[in-house]
Amino acid sequence: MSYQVLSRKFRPQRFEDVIGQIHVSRTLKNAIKLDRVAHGYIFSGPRGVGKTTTARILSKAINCNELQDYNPCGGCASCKSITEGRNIDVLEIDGASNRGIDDIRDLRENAKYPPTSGKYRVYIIDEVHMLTKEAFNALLKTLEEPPPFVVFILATTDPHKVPLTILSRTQKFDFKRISMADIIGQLELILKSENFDYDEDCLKLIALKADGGLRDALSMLDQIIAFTESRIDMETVMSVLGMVQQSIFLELLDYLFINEKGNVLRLLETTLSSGIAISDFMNGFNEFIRNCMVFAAGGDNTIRIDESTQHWLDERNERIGVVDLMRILDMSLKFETGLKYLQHPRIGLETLLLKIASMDPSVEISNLLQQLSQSSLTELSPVKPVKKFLETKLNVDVTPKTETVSEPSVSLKEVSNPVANTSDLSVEIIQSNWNQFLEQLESVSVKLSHLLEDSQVLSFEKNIVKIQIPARTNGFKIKSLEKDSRTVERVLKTHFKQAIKVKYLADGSGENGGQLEKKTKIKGVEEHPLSLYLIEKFEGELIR
Amino acid sequence: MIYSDLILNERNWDNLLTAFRTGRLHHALLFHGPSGTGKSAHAIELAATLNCKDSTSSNPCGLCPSCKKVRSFQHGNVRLVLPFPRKTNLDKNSPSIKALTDADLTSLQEQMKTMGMKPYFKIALNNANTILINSIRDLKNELYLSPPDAGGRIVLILDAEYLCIPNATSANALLKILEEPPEKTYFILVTSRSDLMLETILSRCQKIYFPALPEDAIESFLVDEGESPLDAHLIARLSEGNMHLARNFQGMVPQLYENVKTILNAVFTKQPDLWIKFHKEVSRLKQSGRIEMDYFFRTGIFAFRDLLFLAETGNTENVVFVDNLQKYQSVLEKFPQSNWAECIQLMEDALSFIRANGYLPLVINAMLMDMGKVLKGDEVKRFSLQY
Amino acid sequence: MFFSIDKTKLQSSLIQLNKVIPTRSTLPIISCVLFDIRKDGIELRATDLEITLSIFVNSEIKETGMIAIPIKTLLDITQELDEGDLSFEITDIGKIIINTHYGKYTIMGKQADEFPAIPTIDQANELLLKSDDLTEMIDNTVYAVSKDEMKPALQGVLLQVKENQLITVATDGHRLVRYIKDQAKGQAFEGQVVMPSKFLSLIRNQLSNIKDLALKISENHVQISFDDTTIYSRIIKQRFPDYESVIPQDNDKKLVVNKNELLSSVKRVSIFSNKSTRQISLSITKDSLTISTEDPENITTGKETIACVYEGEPLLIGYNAQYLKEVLAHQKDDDINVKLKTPVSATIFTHKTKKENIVTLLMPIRIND
Repeated sequence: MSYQVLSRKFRPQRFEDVIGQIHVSRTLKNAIKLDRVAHGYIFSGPRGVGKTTTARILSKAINCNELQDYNPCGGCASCKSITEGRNIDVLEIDGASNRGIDDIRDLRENAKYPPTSGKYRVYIIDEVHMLTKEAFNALLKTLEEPPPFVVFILATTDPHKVPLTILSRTQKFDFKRISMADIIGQLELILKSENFDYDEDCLKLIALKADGGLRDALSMLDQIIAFTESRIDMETVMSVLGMVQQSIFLELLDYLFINEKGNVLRLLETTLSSGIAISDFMNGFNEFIRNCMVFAAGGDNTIRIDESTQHWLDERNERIGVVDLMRILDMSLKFETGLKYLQHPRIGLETLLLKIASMDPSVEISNLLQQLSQSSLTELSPVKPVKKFLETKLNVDVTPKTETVSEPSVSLKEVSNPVANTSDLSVEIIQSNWNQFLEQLESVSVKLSHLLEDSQVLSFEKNIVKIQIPARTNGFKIKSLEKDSRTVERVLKTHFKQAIKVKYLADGSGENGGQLEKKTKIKGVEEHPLSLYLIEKFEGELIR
Repeated sequence: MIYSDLILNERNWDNLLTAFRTGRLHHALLFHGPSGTGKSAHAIELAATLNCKDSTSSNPCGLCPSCKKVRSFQHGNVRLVLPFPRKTNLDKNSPSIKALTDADLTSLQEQMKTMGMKPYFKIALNNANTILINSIRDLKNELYLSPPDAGGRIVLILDAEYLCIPNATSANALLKILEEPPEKTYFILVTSRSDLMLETILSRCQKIYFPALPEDAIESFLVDEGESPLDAHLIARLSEGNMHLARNFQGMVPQLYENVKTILNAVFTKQPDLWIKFHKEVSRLKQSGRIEMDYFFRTGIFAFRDLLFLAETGNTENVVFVDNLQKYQSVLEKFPQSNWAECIQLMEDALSFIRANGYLPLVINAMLMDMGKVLKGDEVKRFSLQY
Repeated sequence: MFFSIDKTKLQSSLIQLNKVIPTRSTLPIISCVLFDIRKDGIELRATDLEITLSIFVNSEIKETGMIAIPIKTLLDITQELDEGDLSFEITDIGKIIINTHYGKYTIMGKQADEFPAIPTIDQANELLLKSDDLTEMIDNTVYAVSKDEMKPALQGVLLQVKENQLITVATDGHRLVRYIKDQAKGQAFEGQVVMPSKFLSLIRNQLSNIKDLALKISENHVQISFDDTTIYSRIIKQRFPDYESVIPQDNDKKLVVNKNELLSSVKRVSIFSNKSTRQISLSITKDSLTISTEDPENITTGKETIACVYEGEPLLIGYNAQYLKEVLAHQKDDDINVKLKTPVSATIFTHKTKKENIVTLLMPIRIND
C-alpha cells in the first residue's frame, strides 16, 4: 500500500480524538448516548478542522452495533465498510459536482429506500453551500419530512450561503480554528509515533503558518518530512515554509541603516534567488520590523526576536528609534498591500529598499523642539526628510479629532504644536505652513483648496491675512472664496490656533502687467505640446 | 532527463526525488511561482521518473519507450487537464472533447507534441477560459479504472487557476479525489496565480515554489542557442526570470532600444514632435494588444531603473541597457534632483490606467507632465487605481 | 514490410476493430489500427485506451514488422474491393502501398512505437468457459448495474472466482443480483474483478457467435479470448461493497406467485403511478395479492388483484414499479419464490437449479400514508 499522507493516516476514528472541537464531540456523543440522533446536521467552519472527520465518525457511530463508550468500534463490518468508503448506505457527495436540482431529486428518491445493511442511511454533503437555489429547495422538502432512517450531515466552509430555511431544520455545529497549542500537541504526537527527531521551535513555526487549520499543518509536516533524510531542523522548515532567517533581515536592516545601497541590492538578490517568493519575503520583513519596533518601544517580545537583533537595537537605540522603524514599516506595509497589482514587483521592492536606505534617521525630539522654539521651521531645511516627515504628519495630528494618537506618535503630538508654542504668529510662519494648511483644507473642502491653489500669503496684520489669488479667472475665484470665508477661517483657526480673518486680493500690479502676463500665458498654451496634439487630433482651433 | 535544456531547480528536484525514493511523495503537489520558470517541465520530468523503466539513475533516462511516450503525452499513465473554451450548450455529462472544434483538436495535438520537445513551451487553446466540469468528470472516470500500466499515474493540471475561473465548480468537483486519490496516483497542479486558487484546494496540496529563473541561467540558455552575449544579457535582465518573455524578446533587441529612445526622448525634452511620437506609439500599441503594450512600458521602466541604480549606487553592474550608458550619464547630470523611483511608479500607474481603458491622451499626458515635475525634484500627487 | 491478406478476412476484422476506436481523441495514433506483421500472420490491434481488441489473421508474410495504419481510409477501400487478396508493402519511411488487381493506393502510416503498449497481463489466472455460461452470467446481472457516478465501483459487474463457483454480482443500491454458477471442475485460483459495462456490452455482442472462450483475470485487467480474437479491458479499481452482508438471511414470509401474471399486472397498474416516483404497493394476504397505485398529482389510480400462495402475516409493501418490472422480467421460473420480512426491508427473489443459483434483492419504497 503506497504511502498515506499524515492527514489521512492520523484521521481520528473516535469522537475524543478530534482535536479542538470538544463542544462538538461531547454533544454528539451525548446524542448517541440518549439515542437522540437528529435528521439533519450542519457542520460549519474553516478548512481542515475536522468537519468531514466528525461526519464520518458520526455516521459510523449511528450504524455501529458494538459501540465502545458511544464511539464506533471500528472493527465490525459496518464500521470497516464505512472507513473504506464502500458502504452502500453511507454516501459522501460534494455539493459542487452535484449541485443541481436533478442530483438532489435523485438523492431524495434514494432516501426513500431503507438502509440495506445498517440502521441509518447517511448522506454527507460536503461544500453544501455550492448547491443552487432550486437544489436547496428540493433538499428542504426532505428535511421537512425526513424518513425515520435517514440522516443528513451537511458540511460547509461558508454557512452564510446556506439558506436559513435549511439551517433552521438542522442542528448547527460551529467548528473552530484549532489553537496553536493543540496543533503543536498533535504534531508532537505524530512525530513521536513516526520516530522522527525534531527541534522544538520547528513545531511553533509550523503551527503559526497553519493559521488554525490542522490539515494544513499536517500537509506542511508531510512536506518537511519528505524533504529531510533525518532530523527535522529549522533550516528545512524555513525553506519549506518560505521563511527567511532573522539574521538576513538584520543584515538587511543594518545595510539600510548605514545606507549601503550596493549591499542592500546584493543581499536582496541572494535572498530572492535562494527561492523565496517576494510576497513571503515582504511578509517576513514586515513581521521582523514590527517586532523590532515593539522591542524598541520597550515591549517584551523577546520570543520573537533573537539575541543578535536585540543587541543590534540596543546598541543603536540613540540613533534608530521607534519612529524610524515605524516609518519603515509604514512604507513597507503599503508596498505589501499594493504588491499584487504591480507589474514589476521586483523593481518595486528594489526601489522601496533604496528609498528606505536614503531616509535620514529622525532627530531626537527634544532637540527638535528646542530648535523650533528658537527659530522658524524654514531654518531647519538641512534636515529635509524630518521636515517633510513633520509636514506630512502635522496635518494629521493637528485637527482636534486626532487627540488619541497611538503610542509611537506620542512625540508627534508635541511636535505638532510648535506653531502654538510661538508667542507670535508671523507671516513667515503662515507662509511656510501654507501648503500644510491647504492640505488640511482639502480634507474639509476640496473645492476651497483648489480655489486656493497657487495662492500666496502676502501679509499678516492685525489678525487679517491677505491672500493673493493668481491672475487667471481670479474674479470668479475670489467671489467663490468669499462666499465661504467661514470655512477657510475655521480651518485657519484650527491650524494656527488663532482666530484669523481672510482677505483676498487679485493678482495684478496693474492692468498692463496683468495683460502682459495674460498674453504670455496664452502663447504658452498655444505652443504647449498637448494643445498641439489636441488640435491635431480633434482638428480644432484655439479659442480664447 | 526528458529535456536536455531545462534549467533545473536543483533544490525542488532533489526534494522531489528524495520524497519519491523514500516513498513519501505527496499525492497532490502544487507547483507555483512566476510564469516561465519551468514548472510544467519539471512536472513532466517527474511523470517520466515515475514510469521510467531504466533504474540505473534516479533521473528519467529519456530514452526508453516509457520516457518517449511521456514526452509525447502518449503515455497511458499521464493525463493532461487544461483550460478549454467554454461551450454554452455542452451537456455536463458529455466528454470534454466535445467542447473542441476539429481545428482546436488538431491545434491541441500539435501543441502537446511541441511541449514534449521544448521545456518552456506554453500550451494554450484559442479562447480557452476555464477548466470544464466535463474535464473533471472524464478525469474521475479514468482514474477509477485500473492504471493502464504499472508505475505511477500522474495527472497534470496546467493553468490550474482556471479551476476557479469563472467560478469554483470544477475546483470543488476535484476536492474529494484530490484529497483521497486512488493508489499510486499523483496530481500536479501548475499555476502562476496561486492567489486565485480556492483555499480548499490549496490546503489539500503540498506547495512547491518555483522562483524566477536566475538571470545568468537565462543568459547562458540564450547564448547556447546562438544569441549574442550582449543581447542575451539584455534579454535575460529584461525578462525578470521569465523564460516565456525571454523567448519573445529574442530578435527584438534593436526594437527594445528604439522603445527606450522613444520614451526617454519624450520625457526629457519638451519637443512637441517627440511627445507626439510617443503618443502615436502608445496608441498603436493599444491596438496591437496587451502584451506589446507591456513590453513597451517594461523597457521604459527598466530604463528608469537603470538611471535609479546609477544615481543611487554609482556602479554600472546593474545596468540593463548598457549601450545607453553615455546617454544616462548626461541625463543624470542634467537632472540631478530627479526622483527616478517616482518615474518608475508613474509608468506603472499609467500602464494600469491604460489597461483600465483610461482615455489614452490624457493618461500619457498626465504621466509626461508629472515626470517633468519629478525630474526637477518636485513632488507629485499620485492617483493609483488600487487605493 | 510485405504481406498479403484476404479481403474478406481483413474487412470483417476491421469492422470489429472499428467498434472500439473512438471517433475523436487527443491521441491521433488511436485512430489507427496497429499491424503487427509476424511470421505466420498479422495481429491487428485497436484500442480506446480502456478496451483493446486484437484479432489474428493468417496470411502470407514476406517480411515482418509493425506499422500503424489509419482505419478510416483502410476500411473504406477494403469495403469497395472484390474478394481476393490485397498485397501490402510498407517502406522504410512508413508509406503503405496497397496493391489490388484494380490498381495501387498509398497511405502514410505511423510509427508503431507510438501505439499504446499491449497490457501486460502478468500473473493472470485463466479459466475456460462456455460462451453460453458467460452470457447467462452477464445477462442476469448487467441490468442492475448502477448509472450513478458517485459510486464508481457499482458501475460494473463483480466477477468472483471461487473454488467451485463462479459468481457475478451487480447492484445500484436499490436492487442487487447475485448469480452463482457451480463449476464441476474446480478452479485453481480465487479472485475477483469489477468489469466495466463498456467491456460487457462489447463482448456480449461477440458471445452469440462463439462457443468456448478463455477468461483471464489479473490485478489490473480482464481478458477474454476466443478463436483468433482477444479483448482486454481495464477494470474498475474500486472496492465493491460486501454484498453478502446485504443479503438478508432471515426473511420468514414466503410468497409464491405466477411470474407472468404479476408482471403483466404490474405493467398495467404502473401506468397510473406517479411519473417520478413510479410507486406501487403490493398488499399480500394468504391467497391474494393486490397491486395498487395512486398518483395524487394527476388523480389517477390503479388496482388489480391476483392469486398467490403466502405464508406469513399480511403485508403491505411498496416498490418502484420500474425496478420491480425489470426484476420480474429477469426471473426464470414460471412461479417465482419471494421472501419478505417487513415493509422496509429487502425483498428476495430466489431461483435455484443444479446449475445456477440466482438471488435478486429489491429494496422497497417506504409508503407515505
